[in-house]
Amino acid sequence: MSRLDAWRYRLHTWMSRKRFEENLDAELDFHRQLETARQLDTGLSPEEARFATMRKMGSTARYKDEVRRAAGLERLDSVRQDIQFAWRGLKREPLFASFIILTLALGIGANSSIFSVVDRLLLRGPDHVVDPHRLVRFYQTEQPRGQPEYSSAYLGYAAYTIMARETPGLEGAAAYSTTGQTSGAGIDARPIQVSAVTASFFPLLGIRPERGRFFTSLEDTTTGAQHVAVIANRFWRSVRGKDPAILGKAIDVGGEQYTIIGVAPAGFTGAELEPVDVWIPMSLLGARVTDDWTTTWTAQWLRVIGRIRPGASRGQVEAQATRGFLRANREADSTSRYRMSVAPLSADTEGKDSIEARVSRWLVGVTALVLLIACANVVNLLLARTMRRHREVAVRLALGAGQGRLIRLFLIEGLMLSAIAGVLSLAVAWGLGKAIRTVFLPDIEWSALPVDGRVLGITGLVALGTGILVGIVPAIRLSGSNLTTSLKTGIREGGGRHATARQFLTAGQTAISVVLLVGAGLFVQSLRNIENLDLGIEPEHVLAVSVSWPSRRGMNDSARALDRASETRFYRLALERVSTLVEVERASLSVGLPFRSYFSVGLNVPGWDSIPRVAGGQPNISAITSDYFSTVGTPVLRGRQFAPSDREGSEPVAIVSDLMARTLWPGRDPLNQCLLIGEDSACSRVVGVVGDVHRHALREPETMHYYIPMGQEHGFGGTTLLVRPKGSLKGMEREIRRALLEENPGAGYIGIQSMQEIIDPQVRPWRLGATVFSLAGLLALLVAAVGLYSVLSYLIAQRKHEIGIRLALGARASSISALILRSSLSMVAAGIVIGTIAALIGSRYVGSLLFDTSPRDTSSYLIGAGTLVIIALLACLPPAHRANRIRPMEALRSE
Amino acid sequence: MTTNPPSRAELLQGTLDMLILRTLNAQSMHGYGISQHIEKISQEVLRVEQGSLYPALERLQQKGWVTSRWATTPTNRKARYYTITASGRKHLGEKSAAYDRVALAIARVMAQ
Repeated sequence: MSRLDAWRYRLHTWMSRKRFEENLDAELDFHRQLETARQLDTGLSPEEARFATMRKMGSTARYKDEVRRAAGLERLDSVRQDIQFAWRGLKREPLFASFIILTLALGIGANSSIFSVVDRLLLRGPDHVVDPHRLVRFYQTEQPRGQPEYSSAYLGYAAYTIMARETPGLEGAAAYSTTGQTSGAGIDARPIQVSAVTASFFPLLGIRPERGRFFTSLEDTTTGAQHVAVIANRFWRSVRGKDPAILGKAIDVGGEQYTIIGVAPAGFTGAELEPVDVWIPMSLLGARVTDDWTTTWTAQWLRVIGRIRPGASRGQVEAQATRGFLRANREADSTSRYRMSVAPLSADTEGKDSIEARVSRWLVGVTALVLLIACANVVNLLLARTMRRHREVAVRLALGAGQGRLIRLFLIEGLMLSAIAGVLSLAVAWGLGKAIRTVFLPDIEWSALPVDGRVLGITGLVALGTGILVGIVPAIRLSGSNLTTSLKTGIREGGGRHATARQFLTAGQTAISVVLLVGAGLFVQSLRNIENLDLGIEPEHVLAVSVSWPSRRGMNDSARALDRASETRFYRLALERVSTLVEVERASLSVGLPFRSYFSVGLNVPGWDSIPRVAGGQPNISAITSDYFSTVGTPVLRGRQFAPSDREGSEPVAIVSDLMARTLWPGRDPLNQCLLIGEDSACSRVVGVVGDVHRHALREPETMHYYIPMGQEHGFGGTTLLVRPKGSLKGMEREIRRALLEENPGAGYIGIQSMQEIIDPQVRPWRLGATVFSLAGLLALLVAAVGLYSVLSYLIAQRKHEIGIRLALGARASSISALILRSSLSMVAAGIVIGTIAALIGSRYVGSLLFDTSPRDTSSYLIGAGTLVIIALLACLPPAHRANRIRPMEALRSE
Repeated sequence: MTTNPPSRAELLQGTLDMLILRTLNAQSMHGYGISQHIEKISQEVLRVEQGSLYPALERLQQKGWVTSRWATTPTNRKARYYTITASGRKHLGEKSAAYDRVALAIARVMAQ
């Protein structure tokens, strides 16, 4: 029998304690009866027999004790006593206990909720994917001569072929491309996310269909691709009403009919975390990209993933893939160095951790600091309370309680507090987790609840660690002190080492608060910079309306031209129609829109052999109608906007951005200069200069931009209707949708988004960082203030006697206040200095997450330190004031 | 406190465990029966105190050498019967072999 079994037996005995005692009594009673019966047999009278038995058996109480000790119950009993003792102690001071519990619950809950975010973004991998840590994402890494290296996750099908066939370090590879498309038409049209995947995709990830099957490689061939589709579980439930006979039915994807052959398991999102509605064979999408899509290297539109063979390293796979790439790719630019690189599935399109992931990783540190500061506070309060219990503790020690027993008592107290806080923290984690999901990371498929098994586990661990920490520190402090002295002198002795420990803790709290406040300041400053960023347009005032138009696949050239003309006509009519709505201030059309889509075509400028390069690369072109600039809010700096008369067939004209004007014609008048656009041999005359705009990111190199009248563009398309309402954007959506459907009842899905909504995903990580840092900073501040206040109050209570003597000897009240304030403010000052230094060191690492904000941003540091000084004064003044009013006689008599 | 008659010997803990196991090896018994049995077989030389018998039985249960259950005696009383387990038998075998060796050795020394 192992030691474990012995413990189990012991625990079982302890749990069924009542039965144990009953059995023991019954057994001894039985023994007594038999013994008495034997004595009677020897001829004694009943009375004599009873006495003889008692003499022989002695004290049953002693036997029972020995049996209990043999059963190991004594130790467990004393634990139970300690638990009862600790519980009574907490119940005696409910305010004290609930403050501690609340602080810890907030601290632990914040950690749990951030853990659930990091778990989703970085640790767990996409749902249902088997062994996600062996999966890698491939990147083409290019280094143009004399330029820094950059990576892109968008590869051509040719690159995928190399990964799949010529990389022995891989078990397999798969490619996919996810795009937004439309299902259905008119009123019923809905936007769907469609992922075109190779047949190897599902087996590579290790997915089993919930219903039906996935594609076979025969259904994904370039010549005989089948119109088959796998639908997401959620799509099946919400759109198809969980139809049990769904297999074999049809689904419309972008105007084409597909047969549903399978349903994916619930929560499956492919190799990324954003939801997908439908999966179709890769070859069907490929054929739409280019005719030579399987062999070309220039069309880069796929993402490629692979599963590393056990035993192979990432380095080997990279080397093999690079060799294959260099051998096969004859189209690579000879002035650049190329290689293939890999990164984990969670990496973004540039092979780095996404900014969400990086921010949330920082937030792990932030919430850990908050918990630490909360622990420091709890330790502080427990120590302060211990001071009041000092005599009691000393008496217990004097009466023979071992030091071990005392330490255990504190540990039990700490664990009890943290256990209650842990349970409460689940509610905090739930609420906070829900808020983070919906407000800051709405594009992620969360599948799991905000509190799942893993979060529960982490919460338990954190609570356990917290309990041990807040229990063991006071225990160690106490067992190190000389308690017999304390027994003799009582509470008066109090100052000394405990005060030092608590001052140290307070300084630490202050330091952490400063760090968090500075962090909050830096993130808030970044967020403000982003919100004040001049994007060249006014996204909050503009709605972008796009109507999906059926694909022109399979049409011959003339039909295609006709269809294109009718699309243009539809948009022109839509523009007229929308412009007449009373709520609309201005509206316009645009092909090519910041943060949406951008184009560049060949451009020649008389006087230049080739266009001078700026950091953003080729100039971008948009085709726009008149009023575009006043609709989106781009300022016209010189010249004019386009007029309605600038259109197809009229004189070719262009408007250039400020940067473009300065780059092409430095020191000269850009008006009436000539641009040779595309294959045109005729000049497009520059008629105006407008402000610079962003192309697609908040943070990007400066880009040149030019505009031509809609109708004069060649070789690019995809129209957006832009609407600038007079008042708020709310409610406009329905108006516009109704107007467009009246214009064309058969129109595809009408997507309406404000430009701000298009940009928002880029802003969210900073918003998340600023919010959580600020909340953490506030919480830390509150905890630090309460800590300071309580420490000072106890300090004064302790020194009441001393203060009484001072006052009796003629000290002035103001000098007493000064004495108290000096000692507490000096620890605050020390904390601020330490915190500032720590923040200066720490902020260097956060620099890449800040937006146009220096990690040494002076105002953040000043505000952080200043807030603490104010809060510290507010927390210190009431106790200091109270110290003034101590009456010497009372203080001296009270002991 | 009871005073022991001079002819009776106190038992060491390990020895008591061995005797209890040996007694139970023949048949299951209640506590009183065990003490009576040991006293009778030893011809009243060995006396088993309740104060050591019941803690010993508790210990033996913890070690898994003995199990107990409540049953009715022939005289229709409820009593707790103890039974030796397989691992208890094994332990008894080891203990009595060791005891035999020691007893024989002592006997040899004393007989020289």
